[in-house]
Amino acid sequence: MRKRTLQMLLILLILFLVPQLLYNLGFISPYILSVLMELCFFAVSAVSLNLVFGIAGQFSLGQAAFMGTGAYVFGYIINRSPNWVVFVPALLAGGLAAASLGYLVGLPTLRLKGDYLGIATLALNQIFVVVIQNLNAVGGARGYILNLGQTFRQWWLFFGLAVISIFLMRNVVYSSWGRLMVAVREDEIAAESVGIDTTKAKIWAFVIGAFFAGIAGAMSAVYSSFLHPSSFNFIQSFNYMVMVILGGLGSLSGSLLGAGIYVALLEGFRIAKDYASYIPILGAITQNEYRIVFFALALILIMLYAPKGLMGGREFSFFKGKELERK
Amino acid sequence: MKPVLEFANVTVSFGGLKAVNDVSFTVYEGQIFGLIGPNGAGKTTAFNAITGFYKPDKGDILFYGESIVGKPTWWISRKGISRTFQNIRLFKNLTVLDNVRIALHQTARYGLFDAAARLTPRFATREEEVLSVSAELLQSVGLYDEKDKIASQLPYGKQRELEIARALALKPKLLLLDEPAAGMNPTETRELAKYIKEIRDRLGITVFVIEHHMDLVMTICEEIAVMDFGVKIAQGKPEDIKNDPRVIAAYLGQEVEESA
Amino acid sequence: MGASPASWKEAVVIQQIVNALMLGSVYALIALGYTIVYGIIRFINFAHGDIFMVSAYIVFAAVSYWKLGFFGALVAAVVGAVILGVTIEKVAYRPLRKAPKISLLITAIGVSLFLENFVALPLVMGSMPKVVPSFIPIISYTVGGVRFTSAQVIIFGLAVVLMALLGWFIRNTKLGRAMRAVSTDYMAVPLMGLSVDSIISSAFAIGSGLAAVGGLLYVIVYPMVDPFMGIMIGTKAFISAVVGGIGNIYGAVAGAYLIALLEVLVVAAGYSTWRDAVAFGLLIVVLLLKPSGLFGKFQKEKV
Repeated sequence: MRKRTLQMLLILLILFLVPQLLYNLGFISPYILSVLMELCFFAVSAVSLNLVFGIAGQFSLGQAAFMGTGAYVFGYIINRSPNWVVFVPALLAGGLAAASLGYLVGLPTLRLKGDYLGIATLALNQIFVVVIQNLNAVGGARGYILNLGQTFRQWWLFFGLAVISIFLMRNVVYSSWGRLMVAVREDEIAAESVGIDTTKAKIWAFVIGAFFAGIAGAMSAVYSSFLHPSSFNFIQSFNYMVMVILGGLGSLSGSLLGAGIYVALLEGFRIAKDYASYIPILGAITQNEYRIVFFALALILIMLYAPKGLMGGREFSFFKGKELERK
Repeated sequence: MKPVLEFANVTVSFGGLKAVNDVSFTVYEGQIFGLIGPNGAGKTTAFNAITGFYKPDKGDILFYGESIVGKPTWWISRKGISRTFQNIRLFKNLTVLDNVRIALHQTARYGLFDAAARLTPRFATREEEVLSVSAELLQSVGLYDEKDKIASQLPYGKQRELEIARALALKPKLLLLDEPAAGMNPTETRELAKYIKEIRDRLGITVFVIEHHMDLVMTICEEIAVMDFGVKIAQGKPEDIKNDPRVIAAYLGQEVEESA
Repeated sequence: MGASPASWKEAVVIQQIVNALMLGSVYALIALGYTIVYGIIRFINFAHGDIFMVSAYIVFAAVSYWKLGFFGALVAAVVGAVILGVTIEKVAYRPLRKAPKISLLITAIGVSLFLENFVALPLVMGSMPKVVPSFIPIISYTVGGVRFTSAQVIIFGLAVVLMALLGWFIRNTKLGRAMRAVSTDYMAVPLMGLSVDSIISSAFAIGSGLAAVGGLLYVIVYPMVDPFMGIMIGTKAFISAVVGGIGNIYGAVAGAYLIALLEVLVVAAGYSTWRDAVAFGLLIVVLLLKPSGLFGKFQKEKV
């Protein structure tokens, strides 16, 4: 147990230091570091959606609205005085606001099942967008500029927040709380009959998932310093669902992988095209406009050949709940 | 003797059909009570009414004197009524251990922060206790060595036993078994009879069994009620029931139908 | 401003109803595709709105490049959309029929992204909106102060005729009855001498054909095409299908006209920035009060 913790800390330290050092020594460009930052909040969001859909079995297509709530609330607060004292409260406020929205949305809609729940959350996502478009205090449809400069745009902050968030979610999943959610996903009638208040379990899953989606949203606000309603519409919710499914439903480490592949497919293309531009035909079809076309094709192919996602519900061993076994 | 469960003039109907029609009986503490009847007599509907899946149109259901009508299933279960299902409702894709562990949620009671941050030893000690209680329960049904198997991979008889172990994890005062011997061969049925008696004798749990076939019920029950077409047609000791002409008629009627 | 004469007010109201009928007809034609496919394989084909978009582009190409008239454009769009819809089903959806439903949904999202961004490629159509030249003579009639155009008459007339045809087809042909049968019981179909594959293909063909007509009618009223036009219109059409009771063709049509009417009224009342919230809000209310949709009851009668 002790050894495992040390190993894990060592790996995390390496994962943190390598990009930082490479960047400081000038081996990687600010662009690549910024892609890695993006990966951090994608991963948090994908894992939180996996907690709701993969673990608790509640099909949500409203992830972007929870992220948007976190982003806008965080942005509104931090914009008053962009300094480190305000940062943590603003971040938590973003998460809690998203969690509250999760509660309010979950209360009536979690009676619905499967596709219907997905449709309802998609609709609420879009209503959220229209409300923001009409909220002049945060710029409405024009978007909302955050005057943050580069203060918070630090690799250690993104990496640290991602590690803490994912660690906390992983612990919840590998605890009695997570077991109850899995029970609800597997068989609601059996769950009720062993004394589980399934409504409560679903709402908790929604609230916890929304909280971390809100944190991911706040991270995205730091990342881009500009919030626009269209960055949080249901199409964005699809993107997080894509990451979750690519990695494999119910596999938290799969969601990390899914987020990684998502970013690699989209951003890797930009990097690859610089090299491809020297080759005649390849150069012509690797202009930016082709980026999403290739991404879409890759997505279809992955689904055709690995319909259960790359991890297919399995978990990398460093994620597993070994603490729940007999030593 | 103290009444555990009072089923008082209960009617449950679906559309026009009265699946349970003005049925009354009382289960006393420490009893093994049997409810028998041909297919479609309304036995499972009675169980579903007790466990809150259906709401009776008329009548009352009391558990230790308190009405449980209209209460949610999970609440009734936590109050002390556990059940198994006619067609086995395990968490099929989860391990044997997890099936029992899920039901031990009251033993594994800790807050969200304990679960997420684990700054206090509460998570570790509670989970340790969950593990030892599950180990005990699984040993009692001889499934401990198969604790890491996926539940659906167990043979049928073992699945039934696992379902009972899961129900016992809730520390019930009353255990409802819905056709526990269905699909079992005579040897397995005898084992099951012994096990049910042990549950009552050693754990002091009142047991309420539904059966379609009479053999099991006749050997273990002290009191038997008989239903046919939603109505209670007889109640008494096993030997009285065996010779009751109404019961024989009800079962005979069915055999004629089945052979037709 | 002084009080307006009553007849003028009435004319405005009727004008809005006419607008709602136009928009509703487009929504309805697309909604039918969602509902037919969902009724048969319980799958929300998220790429359906993009078939509508591709059809609109075919109309654009037919009219501006190939100089075809109304009927030429109609035939080109329908044939193109049917081929596209059936091919997508065969290549991307059919191999996943036994896979988890969510994988199918993600594939549909992939197909949708592909179509939109493929059309947006500079070598294909480009990402900028294009104006569709007028291709039917517009004659105006004025009846009781309300202005009708021949275009509006064509749109509404064609939509109604197609919907009636579809209703007849579902009830009276062997294939139509098989489609209803497969939506209630997958196993019943081989008994009717038809393969499940051919029924599903037909569902995609019919849905795509109707979406193509929707695309044609849409560019008559709003003569612009852009690669992402299918997202919002497709979503509204999809909502129409759910509001009406997904799987039920009459419900889809009713839902489409209801949503169009509400949207037109909200815009007319001066709340155009809230327009998109109307359809989604209605959807939530319906789902919470009657998850099977307003006309969900009909589904049971299908047996």
